[in-house]
Amino acid sequence: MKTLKPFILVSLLLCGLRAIACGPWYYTADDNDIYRLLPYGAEGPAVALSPDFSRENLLLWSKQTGCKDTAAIRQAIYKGTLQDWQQLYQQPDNSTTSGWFAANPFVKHLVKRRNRDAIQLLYFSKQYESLRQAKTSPWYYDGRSKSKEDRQIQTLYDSARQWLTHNGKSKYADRYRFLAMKCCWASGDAQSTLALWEQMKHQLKGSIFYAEAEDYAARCLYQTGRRDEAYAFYLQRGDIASLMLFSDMDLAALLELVLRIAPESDVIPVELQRMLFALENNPYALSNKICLTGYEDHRNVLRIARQAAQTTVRSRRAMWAYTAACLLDYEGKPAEALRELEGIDNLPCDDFLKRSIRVLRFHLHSKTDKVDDAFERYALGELRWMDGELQKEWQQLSADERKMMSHLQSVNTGFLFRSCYMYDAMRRIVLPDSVGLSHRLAFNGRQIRALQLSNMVENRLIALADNKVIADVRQGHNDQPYRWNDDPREHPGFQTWGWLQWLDPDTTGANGYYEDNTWNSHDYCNWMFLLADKMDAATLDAYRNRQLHPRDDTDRWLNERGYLDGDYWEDIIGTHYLREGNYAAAVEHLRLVSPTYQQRMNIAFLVDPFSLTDRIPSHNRSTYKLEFAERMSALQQEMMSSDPDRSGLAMLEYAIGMRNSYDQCWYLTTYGKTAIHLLDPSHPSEDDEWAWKAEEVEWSWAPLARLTATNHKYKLHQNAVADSWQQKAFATLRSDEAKAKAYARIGEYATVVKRFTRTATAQHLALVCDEWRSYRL
Amino acid sequence: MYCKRNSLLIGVGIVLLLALSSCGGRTGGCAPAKRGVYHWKTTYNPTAWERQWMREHRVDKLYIKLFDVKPGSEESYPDWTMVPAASTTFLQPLPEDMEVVPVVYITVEAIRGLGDDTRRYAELIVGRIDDMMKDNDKEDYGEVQIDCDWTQQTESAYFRLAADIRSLLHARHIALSATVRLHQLRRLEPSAADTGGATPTLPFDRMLLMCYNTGQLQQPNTENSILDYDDVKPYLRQYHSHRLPHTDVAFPVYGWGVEFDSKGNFRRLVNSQQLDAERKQANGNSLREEWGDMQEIVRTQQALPVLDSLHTTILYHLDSTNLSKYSYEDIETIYSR
Repeated sequence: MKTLKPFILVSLLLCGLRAIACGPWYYTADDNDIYRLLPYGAEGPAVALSPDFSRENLLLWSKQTGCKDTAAIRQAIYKGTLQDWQQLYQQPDNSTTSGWFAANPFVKHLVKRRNRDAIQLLYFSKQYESLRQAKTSPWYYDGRSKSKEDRQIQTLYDSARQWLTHNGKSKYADRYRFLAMKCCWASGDAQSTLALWEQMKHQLKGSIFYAEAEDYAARCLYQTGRRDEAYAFYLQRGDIASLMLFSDMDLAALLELVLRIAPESDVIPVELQRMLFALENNPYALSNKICLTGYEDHRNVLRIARQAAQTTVRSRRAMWAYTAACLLDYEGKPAEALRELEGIDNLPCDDFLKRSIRVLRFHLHSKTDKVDDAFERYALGELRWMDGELQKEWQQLSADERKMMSHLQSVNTGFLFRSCYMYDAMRRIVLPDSVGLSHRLAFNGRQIRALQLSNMVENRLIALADNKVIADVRQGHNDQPYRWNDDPREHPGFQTWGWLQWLDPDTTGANGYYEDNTWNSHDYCNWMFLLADKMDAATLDAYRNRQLHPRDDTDRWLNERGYLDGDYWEDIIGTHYLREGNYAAAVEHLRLVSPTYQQRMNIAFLVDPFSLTDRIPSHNRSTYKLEFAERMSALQQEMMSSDPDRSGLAMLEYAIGMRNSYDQCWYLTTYGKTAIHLLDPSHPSEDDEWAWKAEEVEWSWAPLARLTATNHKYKLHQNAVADSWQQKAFATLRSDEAKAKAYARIGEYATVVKRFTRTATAQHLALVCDEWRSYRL
Repeated sequence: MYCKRNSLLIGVGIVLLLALSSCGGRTGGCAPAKRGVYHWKTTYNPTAWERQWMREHRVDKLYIKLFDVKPGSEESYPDWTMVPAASTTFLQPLPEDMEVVPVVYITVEAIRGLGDDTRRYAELIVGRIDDMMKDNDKEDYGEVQIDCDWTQQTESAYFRLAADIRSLLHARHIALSATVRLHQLRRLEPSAADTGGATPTLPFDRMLLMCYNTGQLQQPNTENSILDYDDVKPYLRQYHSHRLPHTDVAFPVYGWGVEFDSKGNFRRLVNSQQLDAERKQANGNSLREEWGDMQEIVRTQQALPVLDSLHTTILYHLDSTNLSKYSYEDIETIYSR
């Protein structure tokens, strides 16, 4: 136990300190916990800590000797060496000791009162400590015959026993009994130690030494083959670390043992929860480090769980069945997991587990059921229930916890995790790519419902917590997190990064655009946004319509829980229309985005999408997308002109604008790249290259990379459309002057001068191009 | 200087005692060299053949390695610079009819980490030797041997430790011997040591010259890395026995295979017991089979300066698989020179 204590303390410190070493880490929805037998934190530390024995010991010394100065007692008994106490023992008048020891008030107190019993006891105790230290040293040789240390321990034991025969009723008797017990154990004679324990335990009952002595007895039980008795003792104390240490058991063996000898032990849910936690969390999870084993034997645990669900005491069967279902789900067998839960509702279990079972069942149905109206009704019902439970959990948090969560950073960086189980579970059920409920709904033609659910889950706790940080960045400020960090004394054990510490925004405009230092890393990086990005503009338009005009009570309920900011949604819809080349529709939506919102977007472009060499006036930042959409829309009108030259030149301009809106002016059609570029400026700027690296990127960036990949698909298509418009433009043009203008527009000056020599355009070029190489531009 | 004046006197006394004890009962003045053999396994359980072999060859001294000394690791022993490892387990009693010399192998890594607390570790080493010898009913032993592949960088620390060990042993009239590899021999020369040309004062009473592992094991063009007279010759030219402590000498009576891949890269050592099986495997690798060759041993013995009659010839090591490859006469030849 003693050797484990530093480890335990470190583990506890690690648990308490939720610092992020580097980052931000972008958690996937799969990182949220859902397997829960116990509330967060209830699994506790790895070992049940014994009470502070040393403190009690000091108080007892104070009481027994009459010395009130516990600091002096502590110094004398813990810092005094064997030699100090030996000298005092040999010269009780303190004539030979010197230095701090001689001046120590406790030592002086003992000398003054001629407390020979206490001095002898402390000398014996120091001797014992020294001998134990020698015996546990790597240099100790444990041979066949008794070592000198063993012989000295035997002498010490004999002395203690002899003293007890004459002073059995002394106030120090329990101390001598405990010393005798330790000596006996240290001599390696387990049988004798047990015999001594049987003899002394009634006398020790009620003293501070009882539990410590019992611990030695338990070790002897194990050594003498009475293992079940030893295990029962550790189980009773909740000392799983000792149990695992002494028995060298893995988790499965431990569970089998506990099932056999104490099927209702509280150790079982704790260990199962620890295993489930370790299984479903990624290797970066700090808390994993407190686990005593790697829990690689979960398949053995599954076997045990399935068996126990049928055979163990009735009060614990639900817990085992639930565990088995979790493990089957972990193995990718949700249908089997559902079968495991059959009949579980008839078994007794506490309210927390009942909730967990219902959540797991919903999770499994979401993965396996056919998506139809009935399923959608069921899912909505379950989500309403979970939302109600989430609100209760929120209310049950302490005021400090609520305050802390109201100041935490984005959900995507994981800081809101593991506070409210229902929030984590909702995210795990609804959001994961491909298998999440929202993705399954979308895949089955229920895109608006999918968006509604994702929106609710991504934003529900932020709204409940009234998160100041996210509210702040949505308004274009960035000072909130610094306030949180201002006074570390107010928030011990919790560190957050400064909100923008990791950003290095380019505000010089050297790349043709500005990066804003009020970066909104929530609304453009979350899982609802990712889902929306995969959808076409018309679907998003329809969802916006349902936001504004809810069709029924469900719409209203979901709208109340989602983030419906008009600027945000209209900008997304307008941008999606730009991406699809529907410029008239884009104009309609982008006109609804307020200039102030445009002004505080994460990025601002400066390059004119129709020239690339010119920069737009900086005050046009807030209308960049809208002006582009309007110009493209006007060009669409001009393309229909009866004048072939006018129509053809419009087509050419249209083709140039379209192509540039995916290339150098990608901001007009792309969000994902914006995020990626800002978060890691070292990535290549060519999105073609980047898009195809989506599969190779680190997991934390994968969702954002996928956004770019989606845009890449559009880009390939729209570039082909732009090429065809350009070809059509040249085929449409009739007059030489118009053709000359068109060739000049695409930079083929030599063609203009050679083929269309008499045109005003060619003559102008001849004036400005005074060297041959200028024509090659 | 590595030892105090009085310990020097005690050391000289011990050597004289050893000399005197070696001189009685034999014809022709001082007796010929003593016969020794190393036991270098982690379990002491000699076979009947090995016990008979020692009797047949009238082995006087058994040098038994008791334990290694390694650096303490961060994981296991963060508070210890040095820790014992690979302690020998005794399944048989040590022989009563011959002198037993406890040997401790100290890794050079352990020496590298050694700071100023050489006295403490000397006490621990000596204490543990004592515990192990007493536990095996050998309370009275006259010599302790330490073995270390020390280098120029570690020489100073090693000698300090050796000096502390020797002073502890001298207090109990026990001599300290130390192994010396051929490459270390140069360091003991007056011209090489930092003594201004004077004979260095060495912190041990006897030295054991190891005449094996002389070649480059991992080089594919090495003929025999165990013992090749051509490798030994340059070192022996500088050897001046009269300036060095009393010298014993050890020769190899073992063998192994050295496996190389097709590109000539060293792969592994093959135990002599597995040589037959490995030879049959045609996996494209080559196997260099090496033994302590009798001719090379004899040439080396002849090249050695005349050792005094107090010296012990020691064979490495007591293992029937290896020793059975050598005839009775071979062994007698080595011991008799």
